[in-house]
Amino acid sequence: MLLEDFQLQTLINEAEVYQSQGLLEESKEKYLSVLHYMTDDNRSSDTYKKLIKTVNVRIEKIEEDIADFEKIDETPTLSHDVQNLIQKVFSFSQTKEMAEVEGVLALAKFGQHEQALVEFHRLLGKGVAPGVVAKHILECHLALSSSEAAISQFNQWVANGLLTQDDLLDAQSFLETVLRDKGIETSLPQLDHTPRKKNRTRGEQRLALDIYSLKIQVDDHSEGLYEIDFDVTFQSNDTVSVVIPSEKKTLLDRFHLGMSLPKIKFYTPRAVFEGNGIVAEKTEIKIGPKKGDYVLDIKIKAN
Amino acid sequence: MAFFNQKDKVIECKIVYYGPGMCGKTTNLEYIFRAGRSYATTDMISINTKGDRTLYFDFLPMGIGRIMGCDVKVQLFTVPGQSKYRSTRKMVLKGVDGIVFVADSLQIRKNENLSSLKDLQENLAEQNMDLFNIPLVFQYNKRDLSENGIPIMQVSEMESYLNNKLKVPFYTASALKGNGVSDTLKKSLKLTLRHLQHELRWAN
Repeated sequence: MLLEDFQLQTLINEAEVYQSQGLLEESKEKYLSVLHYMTDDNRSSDTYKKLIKTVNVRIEKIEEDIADFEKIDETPTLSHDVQNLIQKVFSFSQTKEMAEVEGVLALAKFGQHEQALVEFHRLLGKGVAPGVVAKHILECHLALSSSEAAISQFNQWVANGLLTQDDLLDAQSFLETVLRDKGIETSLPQLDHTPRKKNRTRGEQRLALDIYSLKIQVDDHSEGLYEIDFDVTFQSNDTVSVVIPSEKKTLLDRFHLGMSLPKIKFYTPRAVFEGNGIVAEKTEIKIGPKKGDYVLDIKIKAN
Repeated sequence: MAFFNQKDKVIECKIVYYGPGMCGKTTNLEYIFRAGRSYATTDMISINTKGDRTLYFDFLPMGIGRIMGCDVKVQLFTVPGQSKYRSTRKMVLKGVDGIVFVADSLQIRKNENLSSLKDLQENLAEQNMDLFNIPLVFQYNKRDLSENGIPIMQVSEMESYLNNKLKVPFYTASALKGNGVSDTLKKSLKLTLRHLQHELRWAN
């Protein structure tokens, strides 16, 4: 089919506008239509030949641009300011800690894995949602194409006791699945699969051992040195809590805030160990069946 | 998810400009930034690739003053329109309070408009949000191109295939020249704040 000159000009005009709009495929299609009609035409004037050459050059340029777009780095490292902005505007939780996790997760989603790793480690150091954060740390390593780093990180956690057994098991399960999907064969450390006590929050647990009771030496001026056993009702991080009944208020009064407690025996499911502690808090229970009793918090000091 | 500080009477909401690639979302924000510089609380931030294609998002925070006793702040975002950036669009949509759907009037972009609208509906549904319930305004952009002899769709055609069921307000625009940009934003703000007023029981 032969087109009038003005019709060709209309097609060229469309192609130019689409190119200026960044609609490269559409522009190329129009230029190809122009070529198609022109090559069907028998005219062989110099102007016509020149026009065909021009259109071919434009098509080449568009193809180069399309190829360039396909090669672009889709996860460029953003400036520190933009990274901070992402953390700020993509965190929605009301609680500060979860908002922080969301912000760092957004960084990772926008491809800023290096900075996300730094931030997730900071959160883990603060004891913020360790189970969740640990998995995101592994994800960041894996996104950076570093399976070895993810495995090494997991091994470190097994060794340093930063994560609870439950969190370690979760992280191990996650890592094993990902590695298996990637076709990577590796053997992660064997972990104890015994169910853990559930009376702790997924907060700041750095003490690897579960303490179920302790024996404290008490110095009574009239009776001298003697030992008392307490059941541990709660353990968080390196602090254990014991309950002292209201009728033993005089016993409670022997402990004052900041008091050093030497030679405490800590009983765990596997062993007994000895250490020191400091009286960290004394609180009266206000509600529940133990209302009127007292909670004594003891911060464990390493020997 | 608007933030409402009852004590200080501050309300902060998020409006996202959505639409197919190269339809003029960033151009809208650029015009708003230039024309309403006094309202902008910081510079506009764009994360682009070569050829001014949005890679992650554009961001423009604005303070629009006191409305019914509240200090109103709005965050304007755009999404990357290219179909391959779906996960980024989902991220940017998180916590959205209102949407401006920028449709390309070019005849050759008809299918892309429809795909983008479906993508929006699906992404909202994943966040338990409904396209039919969120404050939404259509903008039929690039109307000026008809002056250059470029085939564009009639407004009635765009209404028929995009807005037939939604029946939300629409504006024609030429974002490059600024035509229709302010009207679109004003309407979106009005719908969004009215919606939030109802949701948050703000300014009773």
